[in-house]
Amino acid sequence: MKVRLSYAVATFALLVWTGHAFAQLTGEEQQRAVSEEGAEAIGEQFNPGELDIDEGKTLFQQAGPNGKSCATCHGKNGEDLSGAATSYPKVVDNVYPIGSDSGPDLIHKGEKQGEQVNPNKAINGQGVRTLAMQINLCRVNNMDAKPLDWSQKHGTDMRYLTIFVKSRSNGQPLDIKTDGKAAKYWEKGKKFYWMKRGQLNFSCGTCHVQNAGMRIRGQILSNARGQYNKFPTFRMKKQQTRLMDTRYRGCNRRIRAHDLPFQDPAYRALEVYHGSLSNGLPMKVPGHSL
Amino acid sequence: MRVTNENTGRRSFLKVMGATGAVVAAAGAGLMKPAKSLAANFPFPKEAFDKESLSSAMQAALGTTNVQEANVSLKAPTIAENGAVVPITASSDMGSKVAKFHIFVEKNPAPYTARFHMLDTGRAEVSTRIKMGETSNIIAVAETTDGSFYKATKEVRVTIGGCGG
Amino acid sequence: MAKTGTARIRVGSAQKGQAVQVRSLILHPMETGLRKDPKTGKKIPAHFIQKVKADFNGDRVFEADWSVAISKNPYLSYYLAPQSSGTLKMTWEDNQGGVFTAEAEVKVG
Repeated sequence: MKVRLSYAVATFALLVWTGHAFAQLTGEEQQRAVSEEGAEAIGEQFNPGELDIDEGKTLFQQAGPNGKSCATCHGKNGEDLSGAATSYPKVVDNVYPIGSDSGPDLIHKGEKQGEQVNPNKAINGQGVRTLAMQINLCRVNNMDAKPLDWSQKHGTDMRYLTIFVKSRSNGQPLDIKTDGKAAKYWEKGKKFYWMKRGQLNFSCGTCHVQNAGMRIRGQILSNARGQYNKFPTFRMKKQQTRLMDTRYRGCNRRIRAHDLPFQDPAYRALEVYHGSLSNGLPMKVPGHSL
Repeated sequence: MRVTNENTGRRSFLKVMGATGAVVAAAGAGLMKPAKSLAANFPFPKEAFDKESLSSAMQAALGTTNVQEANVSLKAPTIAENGAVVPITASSDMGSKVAKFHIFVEKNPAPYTARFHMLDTGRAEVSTRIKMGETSNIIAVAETTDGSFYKATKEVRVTIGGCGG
Repeated sequence: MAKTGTARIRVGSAQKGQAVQVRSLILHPMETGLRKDPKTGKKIPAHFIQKVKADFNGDRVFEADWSVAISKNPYLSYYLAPQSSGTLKMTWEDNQGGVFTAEAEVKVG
């Protein structure tokens, strides 16, 4: 009798204690994944990531080996690119016709962090072209410049340029095509998104759709709609801007699944689906997050 | 000639003498600036910043540990989702009577965190982001022009992150 | 991230005699001196901003003393009550002799 009573008390106490923690946050708090009070913490007043836009502008205006810079064709401050980033990633007939066909598929640069699809090797045939790939294609074809790495660690320049190009479309609604050619890849991405994986057996949707707004220890799970339009985002914890790929890898590692290389075809298809979830929302690059 | 109460020790003594010398020269040259500029370049409170307990830090910074809880507002999150960037705003309705704000984080290895000199600021309000090692009280103290102290205290809980890493 | 010492100031639109908010950000590691380098195991030396000065048209309007407990890439906000238009100049000084500045025009309407 005594034992059962103490169990009851313990269970009751547990429910009451954790009860408030399960209260689901909605609206703005859910979108930005931080409490109302903590909003300042993620730089709503002054996002350090905005300084990366200036870094990107410098690179944008830097001339390549043949004397041309991105600015030569796209305007000194990227004016011509207004609205351009809203449709990436796109599905095209020839994904990445760049440089040579030979060379390894992945490059490691000595450490796992640098593992990325080889930016020097062409990817032929139909597929998903991301903005990072488009930037490299432009560099090679129009500036005679070398393609840039696109990992978090070795792709600082790519990060600055991506942020700059995307920020030219700030305020404009995201508009990723999901029909016609893209439908096949959208389906692939959707399958990846909803497939449970890893030791913890979570899918992306488990946290970001089914439990969006709930707390996971101290943090709030952000809603899937409203994520892609803010990437690359400034992570307050790391005090650095992060690529979308970096976050996909991080999320996979956190649920104890394997992370794939940067610009892996599975991640690119995922970007079509995951990005389309935020279609219609205004772009706001770089975003803020914890 | 206003001499701040932090001026103890030989180095500060020399600074005061230097300042006085400059004043005399400037006055002579007819380049006398308004009083508030002379009260600038406050000596860095190294000793107070090094103190490891709240009471010794307050004693070193303010000269007292007995401070009334009144006239000051402290805005800080109840739960800090990231202890490395905790946003705080200290403000007071005493307006231009506030000469300085002092910020203490009780459980930090060195509680005295910052000092703000409100020389000509139009509003007694200052915001910044601080680091907190663990759940702790944050204390914001307003020092008035006549040497009184008032404070506000808020407990901020610092938690482990969830999945953001 | 851009270089240490890169700083930005943002000032709201000002009305004569009314308080206007100044927001500032500077990129700086604000290293406490307590952290160990994961590769060498040695303590990373303290590198933090100690002094912040704000001068409006040459007059010191605001000053701050900071310890290592101010966050990395420190944000600071305070108010001005400008009587006329002018230039706000901020200076950040760190414990390793680094001196960084930024300016902003304040137009009083």
